[in-house]
Amino acid sequence: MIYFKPVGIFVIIFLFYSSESSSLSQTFGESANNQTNCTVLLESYADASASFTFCAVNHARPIRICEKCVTLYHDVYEAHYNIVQVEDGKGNKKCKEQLMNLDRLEVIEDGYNYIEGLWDRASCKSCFESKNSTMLTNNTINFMNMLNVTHECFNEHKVDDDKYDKTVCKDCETKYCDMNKFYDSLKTEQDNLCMDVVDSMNITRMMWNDKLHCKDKTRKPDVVFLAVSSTVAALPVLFYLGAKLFTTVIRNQLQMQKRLAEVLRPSTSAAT
Amino acid sequence: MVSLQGRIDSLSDGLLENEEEKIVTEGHVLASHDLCDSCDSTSSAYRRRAASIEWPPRKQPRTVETVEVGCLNVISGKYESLDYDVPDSDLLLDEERNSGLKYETKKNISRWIVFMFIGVFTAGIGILLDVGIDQLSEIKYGTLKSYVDRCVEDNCLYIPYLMWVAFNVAFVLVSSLLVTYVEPIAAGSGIPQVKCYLNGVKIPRVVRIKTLLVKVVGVICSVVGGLAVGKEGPMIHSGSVVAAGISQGKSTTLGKDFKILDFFREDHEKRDFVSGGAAAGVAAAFGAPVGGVLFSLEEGTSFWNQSLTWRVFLCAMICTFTLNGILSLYHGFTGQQWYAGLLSFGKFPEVSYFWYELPIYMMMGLIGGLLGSLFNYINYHLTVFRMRYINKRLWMKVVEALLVAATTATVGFSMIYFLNDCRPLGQDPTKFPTQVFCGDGEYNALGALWFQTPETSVRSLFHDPAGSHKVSSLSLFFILYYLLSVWTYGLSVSAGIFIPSLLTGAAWGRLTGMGLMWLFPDMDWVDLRKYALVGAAAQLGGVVRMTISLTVILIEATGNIAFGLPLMLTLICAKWMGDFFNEGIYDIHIMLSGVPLLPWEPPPLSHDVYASEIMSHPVVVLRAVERVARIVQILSAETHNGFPVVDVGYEHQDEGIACGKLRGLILRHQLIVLLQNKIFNEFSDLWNPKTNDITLKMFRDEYPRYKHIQDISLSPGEMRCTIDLRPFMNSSPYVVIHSMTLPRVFRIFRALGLRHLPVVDDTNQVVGMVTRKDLVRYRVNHHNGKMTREELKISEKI
Repeated sequence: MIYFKPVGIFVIIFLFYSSESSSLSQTFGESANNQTNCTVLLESYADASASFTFCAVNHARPIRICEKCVTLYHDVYEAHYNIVQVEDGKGNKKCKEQLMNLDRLEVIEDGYNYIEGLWDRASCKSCFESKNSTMLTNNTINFMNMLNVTHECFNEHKVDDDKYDKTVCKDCETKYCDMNKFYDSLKTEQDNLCMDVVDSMNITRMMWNDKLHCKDKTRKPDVVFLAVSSTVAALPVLFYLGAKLFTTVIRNQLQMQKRLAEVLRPSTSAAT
Repeated sequence: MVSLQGRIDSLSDGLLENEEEKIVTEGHVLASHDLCDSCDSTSSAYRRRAASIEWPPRKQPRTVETVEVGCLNVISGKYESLDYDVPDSDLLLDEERNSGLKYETKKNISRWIVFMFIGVFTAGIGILLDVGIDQLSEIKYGTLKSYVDRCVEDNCLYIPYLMWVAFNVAFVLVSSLLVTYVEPIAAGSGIPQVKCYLNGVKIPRVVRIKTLLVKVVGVICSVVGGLAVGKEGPMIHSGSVVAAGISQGKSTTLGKDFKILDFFREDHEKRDFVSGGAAAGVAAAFGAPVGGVLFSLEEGTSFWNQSLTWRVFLCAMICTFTLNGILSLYHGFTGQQWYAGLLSFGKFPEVSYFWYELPIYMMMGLIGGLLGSLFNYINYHLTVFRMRYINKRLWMKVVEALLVAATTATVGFSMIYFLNDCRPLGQDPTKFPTQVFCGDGEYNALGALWFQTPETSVRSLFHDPAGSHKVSSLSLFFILYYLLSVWTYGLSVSAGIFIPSLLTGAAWGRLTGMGLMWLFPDMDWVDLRKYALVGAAAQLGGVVRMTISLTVILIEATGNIAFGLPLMLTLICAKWMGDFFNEGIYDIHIMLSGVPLLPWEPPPLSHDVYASEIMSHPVVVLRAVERVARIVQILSAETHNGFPVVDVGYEHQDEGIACGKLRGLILRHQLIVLLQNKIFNEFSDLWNPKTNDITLKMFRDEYPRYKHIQDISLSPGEMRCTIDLRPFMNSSPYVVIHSMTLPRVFRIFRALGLRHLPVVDDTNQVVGMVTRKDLVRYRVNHHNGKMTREELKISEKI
């Protein structure tokens, strides 16, 4: 699950704010050409991050961040890359010098870290063919297709708001089970599935269990288990009873202590 | 005379079928021939026999008194002390004169190096344990999980259940067989044994390499076997064995002598190294080097100095460093010092508390004390039962361990089977989440607790987010695990008590936190992690009653110094509450096995007890120049280990009590070595000190397993020889005067780590001997608000 921290929202507001106020800084600039160039870069970065954040929040429930916002994410990445890496002719990273590491607020880096962090935590990388690609992997596409099929099936049996027909379990079982199995196979293949997939699976399962009540929770008592476990539980009692009844306690002899007091009482020593 | 020699020869050749009879015979025969046997021998053969162990007391009836095994008020006669006092003999003087400062420097440097190696090797053992348990339990729980998953649908859950039982029984069988039949001293946690060793009691075979092997394999098997046990106590014992082994430069078991470090072959040096090893063990087990040093300090404090502390600290630090490095490598963090210690509680860096929480922590400490003393009470009765009815037959011990293993699996599986505590799979669930009867995408919270080693469960209970467990299932888990751990401790397997105590404590601590959360729903100071930790500390403190070292261990293991005061208050409350009812679990087990452990302080209000009452009275003394035959006879008949040496001709100045003017003290093992090497006056041309070196080396080579007197064969001719004991004896033993009071005698004895303390009268005549058992006899109990003083009995050596 992904929670949007209030901090993130603030960062966005700052980004908007800083893009507005960047015109102010122009008055302090001396080399106008360079300055405008960098300001343009900054503005495009601000736009990109704003639209990504908009997209991300917009697709928070159900989570479709990876699928829907991937182009915007690449825009942010590129805009940030331009600010950080692009050089002028003399090999100086002018814009980086002018825009970054100047104040302790570090708005640009903070905003970028937030976006990168979100992308990472959602493991969106694993939805796509490669890091820079916007193509979904075949597995993801297959899964999404199955998801659609299953949910369509659910919807067909919808009677009322949040009410489903009893036959839904029987009719959709194969579809649901296929999807479930496919998901489990994906899960064993790779550790971090992308959040879109994980979340849709979670939602479907929750629906299946709680809303449709399809999970068969009645179970037959396992006679063998009950019999063996009660036997095992009874064995220690028998063992301890047996031990108590059939064992005689060892007795230790006490040592005779050699004390001065006994030597000083010769009257009693006559007993020997 | 010839017939006498024949008798003595047969005696010294061993094969004592009927010891009592022989001794009595010796008494008669020798009394008639030799007037200077012991101080009492002049009056009659009967008086002579009074010195031997079989003699009935004068004021008591003749029948031999017996007690059942498993009494708290009986000291076992089989335990001897260690010789921490280095005898001040002419040989030592010679050695110092010949070797000089260079030798001392070499010794000092070697000492540092040995301590470093102890750290490294102890860490090696720790890694072995950790990786072994990790790999094996992964196989075990992985297999079980896959079968459970498969069987829920096919309705064949009895298969994984039976497999679980089989796994447990098989592993515990290995552990139990090893411990029961190969090396019984490796049973349990090992901390009591190390504590006794550092206190100065010689526990047979406690620091042998065989013990180490059995301990390591045994503890891996019992943890993987699913018992409610941990590997931390055994780790401390293992560290001690490593220390004792490395420092000697030889192994008697393997029959290998590396011819190095022979100057460390005495009890005194070995004890210092063992304290370092114990510290390294703690450091490895908890990632707590300072805690390790303090543990050694707490358990062996009477023999301690500044430079030893510093070396022990180095040893503990090296151990933590090595362990961290290699375990980080194993877990894939190369070069990082990440995995501090076998038991990593996980970090609690940002946990803070408010002053008004302190009373809650103290209350929890009191509860921990109550639960801990209840634990000890039940376990005490169980242990007595085991000693009386089960320990007699070895196979019964094994069967008992197997039954516990099977029942543990049954309890675990039943909880998973009957309680459907389902939780949604998070981003990072437990290693083997089992679904059982839960819906898809959910896992069984109890399955998660049971399908891992207890150590990992502790970590889960500390760190799992709020709402990971239902109150009902956690309560049931707490009760059942508490009972299981009471039942498990004292079985014939190697296993520690730390982890099960922490686990039960963490369970009820978490429950307390959940209760507080329910009471104060909007308060952000209610943090389950804190309460789980405090509960764990309280429970452990209530069971083992350790103080400073436990506090520091917990502070270091959690990495939160700010939380030190709450932990300390908790532990103080737990200890006070527990001490109101009974002793700590280790002390109870030490008392039950009858080890004469010297307490910290002399018994209070005992200034009216004088040395003359404490001491053993007639003393067996040797003359400065003694006949071989008599030495052999005394060594065979008596079990004493130290004999005062008196002036020739002064043996019986005072009729009755005194035994001659004290000149020195000679130890049994010295006599044995002298006899073995035939250092007789008559052969003096053969062992001329100038040509043939009689040095301390001769004694050190035999250390630590001296021959038994029966294994030394002497010809009749040799029996007639004499030995001059003066160059070998401790010519200036510590002595006390007969009018000294008990507290003073006790302090001298305890502080100097003595084994024998001769008592003299005002003319320097030996009147008695104070040993450890004479002092331990006076025990003071203060439980249930009453203080009682009792005198302990001493049982026969068997």
